[in-house]
Amino acid sequence: MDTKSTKNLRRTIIKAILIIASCALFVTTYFFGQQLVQFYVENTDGYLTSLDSMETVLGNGNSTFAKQIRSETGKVRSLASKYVDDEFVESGEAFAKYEAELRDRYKKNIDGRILQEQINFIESNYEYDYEQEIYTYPGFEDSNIDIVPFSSEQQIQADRSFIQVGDYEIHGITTIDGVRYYKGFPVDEANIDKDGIFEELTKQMQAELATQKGSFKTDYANLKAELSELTSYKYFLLNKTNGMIYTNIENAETIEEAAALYPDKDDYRASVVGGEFSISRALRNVLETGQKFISGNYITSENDYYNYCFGTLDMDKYDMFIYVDLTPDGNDVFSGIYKDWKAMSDSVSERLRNTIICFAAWILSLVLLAVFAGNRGEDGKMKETLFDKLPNSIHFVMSVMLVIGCAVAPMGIYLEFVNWNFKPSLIVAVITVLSNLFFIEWLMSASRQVKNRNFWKNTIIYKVFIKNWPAFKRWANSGINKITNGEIKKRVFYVFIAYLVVMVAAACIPFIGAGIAVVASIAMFIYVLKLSKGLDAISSALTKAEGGDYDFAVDVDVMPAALQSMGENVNNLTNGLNIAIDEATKSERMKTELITNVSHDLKTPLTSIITYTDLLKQCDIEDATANEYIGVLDEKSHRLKKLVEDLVEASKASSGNVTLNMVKIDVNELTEQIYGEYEDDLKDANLELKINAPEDHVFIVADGQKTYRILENLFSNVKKYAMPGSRVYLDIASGSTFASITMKNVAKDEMHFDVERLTDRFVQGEESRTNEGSGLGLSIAKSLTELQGGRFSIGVDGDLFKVTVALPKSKD
Amino acid sequence: MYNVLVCDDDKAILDSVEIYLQNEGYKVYRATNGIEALTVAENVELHCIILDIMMPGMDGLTVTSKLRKDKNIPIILLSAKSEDTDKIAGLSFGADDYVTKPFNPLELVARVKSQIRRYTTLGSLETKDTILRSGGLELDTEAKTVTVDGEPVKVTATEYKILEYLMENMGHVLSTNQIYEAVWHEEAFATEKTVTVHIRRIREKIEINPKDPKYIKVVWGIGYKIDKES
Repeated sequence: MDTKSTKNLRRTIIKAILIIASCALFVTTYFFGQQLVQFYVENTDGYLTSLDSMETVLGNGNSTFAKQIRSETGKVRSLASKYVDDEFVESGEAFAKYEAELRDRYKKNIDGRILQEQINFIESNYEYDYEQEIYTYPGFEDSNIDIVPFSSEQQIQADRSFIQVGDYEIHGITTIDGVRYYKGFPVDEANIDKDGIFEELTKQMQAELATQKGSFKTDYANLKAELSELTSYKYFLLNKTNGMIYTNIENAETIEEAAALYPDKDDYRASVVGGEFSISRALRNVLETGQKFISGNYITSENDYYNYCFGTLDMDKYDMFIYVDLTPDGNDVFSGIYKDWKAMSDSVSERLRNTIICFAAWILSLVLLAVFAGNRGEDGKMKETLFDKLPNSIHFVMSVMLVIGCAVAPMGIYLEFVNWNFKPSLIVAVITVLSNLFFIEWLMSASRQVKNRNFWKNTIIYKVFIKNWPAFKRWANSGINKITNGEIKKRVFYVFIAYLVVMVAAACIPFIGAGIAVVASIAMFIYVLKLSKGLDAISSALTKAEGGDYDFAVDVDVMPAALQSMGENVNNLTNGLNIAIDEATKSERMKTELITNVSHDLKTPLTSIITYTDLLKQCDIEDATANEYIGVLDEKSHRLKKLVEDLVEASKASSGNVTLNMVKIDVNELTEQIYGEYEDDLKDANLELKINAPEDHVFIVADGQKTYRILENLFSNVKKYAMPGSRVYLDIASGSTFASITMKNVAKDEMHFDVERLTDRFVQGEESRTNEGSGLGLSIAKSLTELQGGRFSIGVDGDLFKVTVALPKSKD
Repeated sequence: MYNVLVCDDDKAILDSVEIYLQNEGYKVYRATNGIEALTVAENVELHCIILDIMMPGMDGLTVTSKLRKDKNIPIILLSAKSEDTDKIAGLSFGADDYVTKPFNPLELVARVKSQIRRYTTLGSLETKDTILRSGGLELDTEAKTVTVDGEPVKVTATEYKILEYLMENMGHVLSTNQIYEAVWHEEAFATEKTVTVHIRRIREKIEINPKDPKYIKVVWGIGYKIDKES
């Protein structure tokens, strides 16, 4: 007990360590793997973009690559527009031009500021009329200010909030029927430049001019030197107004020639020729992804690409071609970027190895966890947790979904925020550990179940399919392929397919489809109804057959084709049955006929025996012994006669080969008549007959002659077997549907025979068979009773012998 | 001396029947088949014919129907066929009586006697209004006498009354109650069995074979009747 709990404790500690190790290994593998993925999917494009985004995230705020391109292009542009060439600089023309431009720019700046001041003034002093979408002031309606549309140029500037001050001192802006209108406002002079900005700006301009004037020539020399040092960045600029060319591409006279020198279209290149801007896919990608993360400043138009490549270069005045050649040979920024990437991609194999090692170690930790999973309980079984009770497949799917969810979540985070920058981060690590824990949970649960040997039984497949296999089998067996009747199978299948086709077709046709479906369903219903009717006909035919009525035929013609063969079979069956019954009846009749014929043949010699015995009796014979013999002959010949007659009758009665003439019979009358017939016989036998009949006469429906035969046999029995001197009782009773005649007498001999066998043919109460009876009396009586739809029963109670004949009562 | 033709294919029966009839003083002609019987009937003046039904060549029924074309000699059929249907068939072919084998020879003789008596004597009797008749059974309501085939039969007063009541209602089935009330002039009350006993006794007196009555027919469970017969 103790050892067990310590053992379990030890196992728990091992498991805890293993779980921690597993999580650590999984996180490490995850990060290594991510970096591998990074290098697997990447070329230099990817590297550059990721590098850019990395810098963005790190806070540089701009794309190094894009920024560098813009910077280099700006230098070239500056050289071409500001300095032009050595001569232009030396003559001082360049500076004069620069000064004029600078002054112009400052003037525009000041104008803009004035406009802004005015707008501010209007917004703070006048109300905005939302209906007219204009600022109004008191007396606006009365003023004679005209509403004058702006020129399109002015409108563009207005859009950019650089509204020129025109003929009107102040402008309000409105849109009427899609046309923009500006209205003049009275200006408060005091508001213009109240902060003294204009003055400050003028000072700034003069300071700048002074600085520029001092360093103008050195700046030019420095710029030229910088440009000459560029190795990766190639440029070709043509000033279309004076035909001057600025380039660091040798052997190129035109842009076309320069571009032809760098034929690799996938490199980073861009050009603007005759106002036509083109940019390579690679550069586009770099700019796009790089820019994306610069404070959400997404590239939305070709203009943006142009700006990144060529800055404020005037495409009307200049043609330009730029090309970035990423080579390790060089000392500029571009070469530096390339070198960094190279170093990283070279370390891939090392990272791969690390990844594999970590992965293997992680797998090992899982295997160990599986081995150590579960603590054995008292019964030697692994203790199962609540989760173990879940169907295995569901548990597995749940765990896998959690694991995948956790694995994908960091991906989403990367994609959304860091753009494939797989940098280890705390949140990713936490999520990864969670996913690993979910997986371990399932693994250990599965391991416990395997150890308990109920893993398979706990799967959904087992629970749903294997466990219920017999039910499935039954279900499958009830399928159409188990119908052995080919005709039914074929027909029902065809009808179903036709129905299916029609229904599918109906589903495809709008509006009319519903009607078609209804018609098809009704047709199907009629078919099913027909099938049911056919089955019903067959069923009722079979019910009739069961009841013993074989005279029926199913009308096959009105049945659906599927059932016709079945119907025919039923008809054939009944024909067969009828034949069999006919055969049986025939055979029974033949038996009766045989007996009748034999008895006819017996009767002829018997006639001679009887007559000659009688003649002998008339002879004058003295010998007493001879007379005694003649007496025996006489008696036995008469008995033989009786036997032969009874034999024929019994055979006919038992085979039902009797014609019945059913009439309404008065039982009281009948018993009276029989009494009359047997009165003497009973007296001779010293018997007293007591008849107990109800006062109201009882009527039955029977054949009088046959009923008499029944009672005659009973009386002759009584005469032979009743105890002399005793009373014989004849009771008539009337039931609800039957009337019964019961005869009771006391037997003169002990009765030790089987009551049931008494009605068998040739059975007599006495085994010796020496009596005058044929042994057929009760058998005939029974057969005749039953032929008339009655019941015949015999009872023996000590010496009391009782026979009851029950016959159907007359209904009126 | 009356001439009787006996026709049967069984010689033993033929012999025995001949003995009985000769004992009674009849002249017996023998035939072993139907054709022989017809030949005899053509050549001899017969007073009664006993015919077996099942015979080789020509059966008894055919012989009967042939004879009936120009003769009204009494014909008694003799057959092993004992069914009711056989009897009815035989009688409807024109036979006057039907005796089943094996028969009681004395009964046969009695029937022959009865037939000959009726054939020779009764046919010539003029009918009186006071006489009730069914076949060979006659009731003289004036003399209160009963005769069967001309032979007087002794009956008691009650038996006579019963017989008279049955004869008066010839062809009708009369229940024991009806008979009792008509004869005893009392309401019947559990005394009917005396009627049935009386009737059995009457049958024993007037019938040749009381078990196979010719005159008083028992309709079991309904009553008794006497059929109209010429």
